[in-house]
Amino acid sequence: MTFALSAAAHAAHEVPLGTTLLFTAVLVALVLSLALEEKLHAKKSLIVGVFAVISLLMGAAFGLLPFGPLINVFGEQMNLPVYIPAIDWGVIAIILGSSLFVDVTSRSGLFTFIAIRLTKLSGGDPLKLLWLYGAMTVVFSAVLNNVTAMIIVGSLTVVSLEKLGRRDKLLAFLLVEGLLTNIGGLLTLISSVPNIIVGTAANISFVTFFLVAAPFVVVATAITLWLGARWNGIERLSGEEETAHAASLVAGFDERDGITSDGFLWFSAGMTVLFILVIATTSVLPWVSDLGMGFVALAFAVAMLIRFKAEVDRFYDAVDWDLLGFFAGLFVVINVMEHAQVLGLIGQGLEHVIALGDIGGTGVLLLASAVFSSVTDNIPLAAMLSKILGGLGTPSDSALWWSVVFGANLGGNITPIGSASTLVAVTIMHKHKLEMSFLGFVKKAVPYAVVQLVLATAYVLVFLR
Amino acid sequence: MSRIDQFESVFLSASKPRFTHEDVSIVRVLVLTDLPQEEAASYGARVQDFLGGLGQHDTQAWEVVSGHRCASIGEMLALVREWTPDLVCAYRNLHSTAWQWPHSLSDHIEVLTQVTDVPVLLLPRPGQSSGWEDATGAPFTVMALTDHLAGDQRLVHYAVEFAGPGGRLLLAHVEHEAVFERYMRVISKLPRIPTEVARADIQAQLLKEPKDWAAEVEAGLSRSGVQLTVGSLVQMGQRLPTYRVLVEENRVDLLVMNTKDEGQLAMHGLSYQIAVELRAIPVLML
Repeated sequence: MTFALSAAAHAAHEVPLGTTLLFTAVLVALVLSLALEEKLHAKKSLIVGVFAVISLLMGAAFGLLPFGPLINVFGEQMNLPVYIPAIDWGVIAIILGSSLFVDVTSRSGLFTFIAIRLTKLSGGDPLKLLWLYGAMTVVFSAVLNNVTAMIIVGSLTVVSLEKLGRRDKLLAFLLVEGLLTNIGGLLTLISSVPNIIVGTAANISFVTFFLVAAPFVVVATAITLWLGARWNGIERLSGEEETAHAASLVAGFDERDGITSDGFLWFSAGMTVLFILVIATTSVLPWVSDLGMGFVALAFAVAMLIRFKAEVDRFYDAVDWDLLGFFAGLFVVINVMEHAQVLGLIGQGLEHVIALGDIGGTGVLLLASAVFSSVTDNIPLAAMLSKILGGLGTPSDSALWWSVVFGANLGGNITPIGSASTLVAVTIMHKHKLEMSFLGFVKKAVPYAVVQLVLATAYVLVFLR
Repeated sequence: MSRIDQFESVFLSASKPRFTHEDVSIVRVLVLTDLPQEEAASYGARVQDFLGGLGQHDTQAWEVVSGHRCASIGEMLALVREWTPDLVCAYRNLHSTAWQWPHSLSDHIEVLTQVTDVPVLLLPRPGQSSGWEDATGAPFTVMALTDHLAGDQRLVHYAVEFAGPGGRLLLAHVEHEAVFERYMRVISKLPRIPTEVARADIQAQLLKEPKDWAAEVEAGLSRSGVQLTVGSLVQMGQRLPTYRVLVEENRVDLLVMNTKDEGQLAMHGLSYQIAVELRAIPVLML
């Protein structure tokens, strides 16, 4: 946060327990509303927006908000509405910048080029296709974001399996890919929003995050794909004729179809590599380290937009404003809850969990985070726990941070509403008339999720504690 | 979730039909005429000359029908069933006096093309000063045309077979401009669809698919070592007049087109129009 709160605002304030409990009820109502998002037929941003308005009004009424001027590092006073510094603009900038960057880069045909090349590489063999699409899902989830990864790989899966006459395996492919998006989302600091929130709060560098997460991601991906193939009867093709026929079908894909300019394709490829490198080294780059990853993401988005200077508004239209509005509202609610001592109250509960010891505390926190993330959005959980762990003075190298990261990401694999990318997978299933109810998804996904959570718990307890 | 549609569209567009060259086997040829025997024989010889490029791999069996042997449609169909030809050759207004009025093909031809699965080579009527009877040799330039060219393997196989080695194959596709404009007028009244974007994108995609197919056919023939010059003629326009111009400009010797429409008993609309109106050149009707 750029601004320090004024001395008046910093002054410790006592909040009656009754008031804290009242605000806790508001927070619980918000979490329940998010869990029932589909039943309410309301977008997340609106749900959180309503609660942000209510929280701010209540905070003002109970005299909990730090109204007054802000003082920056030069000692200059600035008057900002109380809800503006409540928002973590660094996180918003990363999400806005990277989504614009990915959207413009997609226009070059780069991601579809890679996706089709991999399809051809499989020769139309279902098992090879599953492994290649699985690997692609993980890498795209890590480099782009898990929703975009699911959309790209899921769409290609539909088209290629239809072409190969393998529609009977479509459900299994989409399910496994959906589950892998949340594993891929663990790979880097910017791969998922919980990573960004927790990583920023814990001050974990991009490189450290990658080095810690990568071994788990590789093993969990391999096991998930192996199980996916085994449980769904996805096997290699047998016989020369069948193999030749499948190969000729996928040969009909034209990876250059969406490419309008080779120059822009190579520029996009170069910029993508550069983007990852700069993000990875942000903390050590002079000047850039002060400006942060949000600046890097926005700067790369602006650089890419120059190619479409006359029609940038089309990209602005494509930005997920619901997601950004959701984050902004959520940060406001959490800020109010902090002032109402709700986070302190939850922190006291968390202290009991941590007191279970290195093994018990870390393990319980991971599993509890997963269960919570499976029924509602993992972002409020990550934001809340980051605040609480930070408030408890948890060191950067504590395994507790990783419990939140692994739990929040993998919890999305238990139910279809656990993460946005699994919801996309289910949406694609429904779009193509594949039956998949909420319970049907849980029934199919839980065995994978259990294996992944056991693996994650063991990994955190053995290697990161 | 519109981005799902967006990427599905990208991949669907990238998923293209693949052309694999296959030889067409035409061994038995039945020539139907209503001419006296001598004239029928002469006409049959001209047909044989025209089809000289065919049957390079097979021995051909010929049957030339003359006079009133197939005066009734029933007799004609019975003969086709009995003789089981690979190709039937006939001319417009067979067994019909309506040839003086160029507005139809005749009952015989219309039923023949729809009832049997055998390709029908429809030739100019004898004595119609088309110039075809006086010409010699096999077709050099063959034009395959349809309103949905992309992916039609059979149409191309026949066109390639008739063009013969060293010939020229033109793949023609005229997108119906009037229909396109009708849809554009509807789109212009829908606030959710940006009209100019829709016009540019839909038009580009409509023309792209047949162009891609033509490129794939050329590549497929090259892969199979078939020596043939392949060209594509893809444009918007009014179909019949545009095809007429394309045929004339390119000195087309033979048109190849589909005539059957699964949803109806009558001949496919565009095929009928072309077969009736472009009377001076042979048309292979599949």
